[in-house]
Amino acid sequence: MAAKVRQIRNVQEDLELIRTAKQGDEQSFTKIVKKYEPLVFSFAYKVCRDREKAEETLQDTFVNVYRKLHQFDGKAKFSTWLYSIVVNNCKMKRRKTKLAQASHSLDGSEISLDHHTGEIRTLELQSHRASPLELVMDDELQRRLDEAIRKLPLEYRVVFVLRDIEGKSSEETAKILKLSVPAVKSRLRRARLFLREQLKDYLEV
Amino acid sequence: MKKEQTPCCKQVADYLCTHLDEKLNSRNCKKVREHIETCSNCASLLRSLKIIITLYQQEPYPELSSSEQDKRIQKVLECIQGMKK
Repeated sequence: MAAKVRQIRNVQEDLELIRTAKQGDEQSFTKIVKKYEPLVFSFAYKVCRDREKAEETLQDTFVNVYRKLHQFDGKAKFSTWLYSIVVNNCKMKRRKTKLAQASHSLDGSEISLDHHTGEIRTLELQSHRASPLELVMDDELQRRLDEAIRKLPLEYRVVFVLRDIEGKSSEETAKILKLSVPAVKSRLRRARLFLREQLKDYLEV
Repeated sequence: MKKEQTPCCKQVADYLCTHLDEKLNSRNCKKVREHIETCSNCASLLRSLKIIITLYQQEPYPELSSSEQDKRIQKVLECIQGMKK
């Protein structure tokens, strides 16, 4: 109950800040930036996997927020709208740096399933001894996690980050990305299988 | 997954990868649970997916320096001023 009240107050506070910022109040806009920059930076970093790019995305995002603030009608949560601006900026950055060329295709056979026999063809599902408690988050593990997620194409990586790391629902992820809920689920399924395939050797050690 | 069929590994894998974190209580969900109890491959898939998600959630990420917040905001405001000109 208390959490719900806090949430409602938070939304009202945002709407008031946005209203005054739309009227040109620089202080209100600064308050919005201060409140949301940790969220924007953290999300941009998880998607871009690069501190410098995340910092550039942070700046571009708030410049775009200022430019487009008049378009925000309050129907969706401000954070939902903000996430979608960050995603667009990450996509722009990828185009500029040609990151896409380094991405792997998820349509290849590396994670496919045999539709005739119903068997998992290349996943090689073996028993895993590792568990989160047994796996220490050391430099090697961080490097492997980073390598694996960098190979995931951006459109799938964004879905994985929003759903599994940021904890957003399929419905909110769909709103952020302007996709249908089934499309979000489909990308999430492929992203999870891809990461599992990329990390399986490490998990089997 | 058809409701009256016993799911095969492919269907279970699809189901797990799509609905892993959802609280489902459907007939399909029950069938998947029953399948996992008797199939070590699918049990392994479920375990590894949970591990991977947990690891990414626990991965340390850099934080913004609070002492440089004013500088960052100033940069944003300068860009905005530049746009207005």
